[in-house]
Amino acid sequence: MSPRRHHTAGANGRGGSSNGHATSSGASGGRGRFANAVHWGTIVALFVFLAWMVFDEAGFTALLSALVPDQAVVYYPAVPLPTLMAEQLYLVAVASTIALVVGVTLGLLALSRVGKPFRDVIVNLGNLAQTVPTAAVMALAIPATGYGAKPVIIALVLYSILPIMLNVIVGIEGVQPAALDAAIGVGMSPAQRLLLVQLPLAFPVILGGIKNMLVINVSAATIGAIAAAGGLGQPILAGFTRYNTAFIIEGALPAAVLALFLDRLLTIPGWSEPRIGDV
Amino acid sequence: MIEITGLTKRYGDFTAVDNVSLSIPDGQFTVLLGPSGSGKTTVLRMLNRMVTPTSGEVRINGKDTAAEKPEQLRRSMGYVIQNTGLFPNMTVRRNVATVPRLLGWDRARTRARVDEMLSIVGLDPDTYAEKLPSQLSGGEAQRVGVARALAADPPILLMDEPFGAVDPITRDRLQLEMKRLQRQLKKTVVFVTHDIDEATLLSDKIALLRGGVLQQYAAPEELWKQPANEFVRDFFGESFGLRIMVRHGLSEITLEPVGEGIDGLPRVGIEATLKEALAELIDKRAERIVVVDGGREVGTVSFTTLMCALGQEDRS
Amino acid sequence: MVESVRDTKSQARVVAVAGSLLGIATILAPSFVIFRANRIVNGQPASAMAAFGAWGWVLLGMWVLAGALALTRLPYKWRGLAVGLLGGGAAVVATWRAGVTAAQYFAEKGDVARLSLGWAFWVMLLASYLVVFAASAWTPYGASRALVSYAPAVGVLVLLFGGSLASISIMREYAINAADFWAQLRLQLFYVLGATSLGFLIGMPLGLIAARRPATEPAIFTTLNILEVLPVLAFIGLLNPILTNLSEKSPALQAMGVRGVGWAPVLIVLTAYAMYPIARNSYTAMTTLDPAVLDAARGVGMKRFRRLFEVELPLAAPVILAGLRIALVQTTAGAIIAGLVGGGGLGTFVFLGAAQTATDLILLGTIPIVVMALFFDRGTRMVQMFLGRWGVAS
Repeated sequence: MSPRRHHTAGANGRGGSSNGHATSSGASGGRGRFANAVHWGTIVALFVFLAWMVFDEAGFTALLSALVPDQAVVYYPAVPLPTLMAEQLYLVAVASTIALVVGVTLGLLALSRVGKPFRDVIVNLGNLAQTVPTAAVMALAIPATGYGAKPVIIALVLYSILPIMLNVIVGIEGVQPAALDAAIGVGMSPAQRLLLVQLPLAFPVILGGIKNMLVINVSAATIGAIAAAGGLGQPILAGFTRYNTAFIIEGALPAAVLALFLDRLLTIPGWSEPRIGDV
Repeated sequence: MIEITGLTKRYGDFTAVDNVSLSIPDGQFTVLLGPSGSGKTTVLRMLNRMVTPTSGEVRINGKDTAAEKPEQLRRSMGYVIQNTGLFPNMTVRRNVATVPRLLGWDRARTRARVDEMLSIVGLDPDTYAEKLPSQLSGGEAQRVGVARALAADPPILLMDEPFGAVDPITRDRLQLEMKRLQRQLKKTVVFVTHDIDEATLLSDKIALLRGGVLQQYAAPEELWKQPANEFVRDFFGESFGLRIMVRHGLSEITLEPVGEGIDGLPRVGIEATLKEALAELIDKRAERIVVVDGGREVGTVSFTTLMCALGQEDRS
Repeated sequence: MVESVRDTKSQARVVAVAGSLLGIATILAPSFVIFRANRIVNGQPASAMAAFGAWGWVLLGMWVLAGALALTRLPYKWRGLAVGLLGGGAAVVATWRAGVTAAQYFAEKGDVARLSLGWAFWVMLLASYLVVFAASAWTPYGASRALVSYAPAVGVLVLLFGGSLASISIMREYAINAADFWAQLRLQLFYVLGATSLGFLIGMPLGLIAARRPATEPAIFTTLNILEVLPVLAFIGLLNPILTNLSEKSPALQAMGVRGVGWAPVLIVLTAYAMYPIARNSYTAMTTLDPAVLDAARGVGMKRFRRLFEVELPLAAPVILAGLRIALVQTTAGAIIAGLVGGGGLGTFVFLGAAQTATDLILLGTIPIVVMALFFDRGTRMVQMFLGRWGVAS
């Protein structure tokens, strides 16, 4: 379930657009370099921490024992952590790839000649659809597809198509009109305009959508444990039912670090997100 | 040669351009002039089919532009707009290289051409080629816009208030550059502006529009001496004659002999415009001015002569 | 501009016709309602034509008429009203007939029998949405547009509270769980309003501080961002040991019900999530105020505090409200997680339904959440529009 990240870059109901803004241009000054170093350092640190937790069973177990001293069994016995992590990544990767392809396609369709009449409806529907919790979609998919990875992936895909699609629409609509006019004026075909001018300029916003999607999917995949899809949610839920705090942390900590890692990885330092929501 | 016949554009009940017909010979600098809402930008944008005419046609060298693929048409014309429309995600070099690349030129030829174009607009390639548009001043960006438009050596150049968004000093400089460029390249230019001074300085002929209707299409001198209607006369106003003086130079008129008593009279170079000569006379409160060519006195001009010079037949 | 308004109206035609065609398809599609012997078995799907008898034809007729009228050249206002009311009306009529059919089925087959709404029903709602959306582009702003947009919802609500939908499976679930439902709904509201209020109380000042002192901006927003990115279940999980510890040490907290699971971690997590959009928008609102207005305020001699409350905040209000709106909608959906960790709320039905593979129970939990979210969304938008009259630096 992802209670947040519903805010895509200012998607507007009826043909509006918002402008993202880069707060720093070409951060090559001294302060820019420092911020860059901190940024990449954090990413590396998170990755190392995550890898350590997953692969150094003895070490992580020791940490868990230290954090939860009064637990006898601290390491979730049913499934080893690397497997759980693999399941988690599998869910996120498959769902995200499908959602990316479908989302970008739908977004471009909504902007094209064919889809133009539907652009407003699609944006409105997209915003509406984001009010449905992912967990509910997951739950509804279970009777249709049974337990396992399938309902989770279906729910994740359905849900994460929206931020991608909306960000593609808003990103491309937010491209400076003068640049687009010039692109038409120099004689670029619609495809050339899209590839050479519109997509590159919309890229930061679209990347923001991808980042959103990945973070949402990590969170939702964690809940996928209710559908017996495996993943890091499994030890967390087991820990809740068995009153074993160590199990909870064994699942929660890697999940948290994974989400933070992906978030930092896809953040462009210095670029600030456009204002949330349409005003 | 651009032949515009009966060009009309309607948006529902609103007529933006009403039956405009013009004939533009090669190498002529044509200014589309008029107040806001006169339809001048719309006419321009119908030339490269950024706007589809409701009726009428545009023929370039005999070929109907509607028959050609829009992309191809536009690649054969230069297009400069007010906010430059430089692609923010590309360097200056890549921006200027846009059309050559679209046309498939090879790298070496493109590179050479980009450098040449940057130089022609007064920008040093080594300094500017790798910069991003966000790093340029308004004037520099506008020059890059012109360079981009000229890169593929199109015979026709379309310019939509290109100097409107820069400060007055830069604008003056750019206008003079444009004049020089035109003398050098002799392109067929269609230039939109609402600024009378700009139009007077740059144009060979002006097409004055009002409410989508063509009022008069003639050289500034004719517009001044024989305005087609009251609007034309009122639009250009009383100082038009003065403005026109900037179009002509001392080299075009017959100078009076040097004669006696020239000491103490102000001097001006032969390359000066009539307007500059007049300004000197006013400034020095003199009746007569001495014209020099490279230090040598070649003649004099009196106030009266200057006034009559314009009254004579068209000399440009 | 002239051209784009005309464009919208003619584009609406495409949407309206598409919606009508979809509507026709759903009436003929195989699974509009599902007859079940009891709540667990899969049941017999039936199309609207088959199940509703003559009314199936009425529905079909409504859709055909809607599509046909959309293609005519009627004046926009009447076209909009006609098409909109037909498309929206079809949804209401379909829901009504589903209710009636359910009651009949119920009467015939006994207590455990269930009539469920099939996928075609839900797709038909989508079709109605498309048609109403298009029709509202044709109707002028004001009474007629409001009529077209809200009449279907009002119609369904009337049916709901009038009892004609009581036999549909979802409502049967409700009947079984009635008392519990209202309790959980109240809990859901508690989470939403509680977390959003707390989020506002903490988040808005943070945003203002970040705007006033730019040096604090990285620290504040980095922290908020970290909180925001944490997966919800992991966040709750990480709070578990901390809260368990605290609760053991403090009898006061224990008395309030603060434990490692339950309402406490959920409220904390939801508040943390709600802070981000509010803080972000507060910051943006304050940093994009029209400098001319601020200058004028200083120029007339307003002191700091007065400026803040009389000039800056009112101007920033619409943007801040947008952030609040996002927070409200997010939290409404997000509170579902409480049902998984013993915190109650409408999520309880969702997760119970998941465990029992009882779709109707899941829907009993989901639909009120969506309705609530829409309600908050529309409500805050209206307030935003009202405040926006002062004009804000957008």
